[in-house]
Amino acid sequence: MASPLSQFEIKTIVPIEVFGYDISFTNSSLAMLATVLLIILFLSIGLKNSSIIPSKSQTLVELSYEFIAGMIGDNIGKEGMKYLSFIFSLFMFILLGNLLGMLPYSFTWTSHIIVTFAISFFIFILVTFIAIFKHGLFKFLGFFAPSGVPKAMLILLVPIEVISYLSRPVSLSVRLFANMMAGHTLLKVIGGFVFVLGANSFIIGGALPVAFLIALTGLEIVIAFLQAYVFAILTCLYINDAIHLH
Amino acid sequence: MQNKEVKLKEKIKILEEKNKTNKQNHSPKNLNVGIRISVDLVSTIIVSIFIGLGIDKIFSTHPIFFIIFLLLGVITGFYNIIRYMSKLK
Amino acid sequence: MSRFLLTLVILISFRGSYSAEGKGGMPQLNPESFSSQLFWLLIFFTFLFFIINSIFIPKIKKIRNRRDETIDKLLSESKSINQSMENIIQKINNEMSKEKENSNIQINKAINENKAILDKKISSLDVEYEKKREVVIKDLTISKTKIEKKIPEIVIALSDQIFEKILGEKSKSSLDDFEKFQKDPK
Repeated sequence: MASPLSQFEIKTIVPIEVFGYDISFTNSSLAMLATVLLIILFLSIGLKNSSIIPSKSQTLVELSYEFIAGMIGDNIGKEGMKYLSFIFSLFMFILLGNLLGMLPYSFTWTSHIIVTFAISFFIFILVTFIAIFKHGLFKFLGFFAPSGVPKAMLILLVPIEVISYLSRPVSLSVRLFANMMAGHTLLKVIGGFVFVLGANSFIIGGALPVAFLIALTGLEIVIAFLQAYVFAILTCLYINDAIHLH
Repeated sequence: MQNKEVKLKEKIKILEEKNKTNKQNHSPKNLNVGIRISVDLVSTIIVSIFIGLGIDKIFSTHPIFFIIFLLLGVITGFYNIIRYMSKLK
Repeated sequence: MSRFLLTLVILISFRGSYSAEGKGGMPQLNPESFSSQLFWLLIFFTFLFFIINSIFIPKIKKIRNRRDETIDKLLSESKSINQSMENIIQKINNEMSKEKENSNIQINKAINENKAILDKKISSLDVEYEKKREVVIKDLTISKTKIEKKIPEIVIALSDQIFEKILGEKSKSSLDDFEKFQKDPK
């Protein structure tokens, strides 16, 4: 029996090396490609014969669009509509990546800290640039010194604010990565229990872990949605902070 | 015909009110705060530990900044939780 | 949080049994795969973003705008139709009330006219009736006086006849005798 973590192993499919960097096409890349293709398929089927009175698939596409647009409207406001396509593609990418990982024998690329960290670090850089371009460097630095606080407290509060700000990409990426990894590891472990208990108790004992496994799969699908939602909404909140700099 | 119109207007009013209450009940902002808290505590501590270790490496003052920033990270984590909780109300 | 704790416990308990294989750690923390993952993430996400930004989002926005426009158009159209309908109803109501008033006036007029004619006829009939009554009364009085004048003559003739029957002789009384008899009944 393999380790419950072996499902996260990267396996090279097409080895590629450029300038000494290994950029092989791996199972993770394959999963990402499948995610992108699925999104494009979903959107193009939905918008193939787009009309004023939407078909079922078009309703689904518009529902997802409206979901993101509503999220932006609630959390950022009208100025946030510029970032709609970014947040929309981010949400779809992570959601489909999570859901695709739920298929047996597939690969969950969102369970890799380096990928989630890269995405959230990009968001972090983007948000910082938005804040600096919108308000100037000086005002942006003023974000770390909350007003209406005695000067002595600033010695403590400024590092706190800086650490909070810097921890944003970490918490954003760790949340997604940890959730996906924990869920998939748990599924694998329980799956192992099915085999072990079933073998030791004439198959009957395997029923309990199977039931648990089914429930857990449902939960994981919910979590796949929830984490994509949280990722998108936190991106919205960070962009909101950058635009409004309270 | 006028009766129908009145009925229609009443229906519209009821639906509008429903919509309003729905929006109030399912305000996603409260959910966000709850979700943010869980991992923020850990990540602030991780980040502050890394900052402390980095400064220690530059000035070769190994345990001092590590300890300072560890404490600062814990304080930041709890400060943020308190701040989110007060926003929640 | 309990999910994480459970996973952590499981991971720790499993680590002992797998560390012998030499790859017990998390594959996520193996830096060998980082460059390829980052590269393909960059490629795929950039591709996805540009295709969504340049094709799909404008398409969705266009269709939604068109729908909003159509809804607005239909709404204003229906509003105008409703307005015109109300106008027509108002017009009809106005005309109806006007007609009602008109017909009321007409009816009143007709009633009054008929009343006048009736009154006239009644009065003329009354007049004629009076005339006829007077004529009849005159006739009656004339015939009454005539009869009154004739009564003595008839009485005399009658008495003459009675006398003749009783006495068997003819007598011829005159009016003077009757008058004498009236004055002195012996």
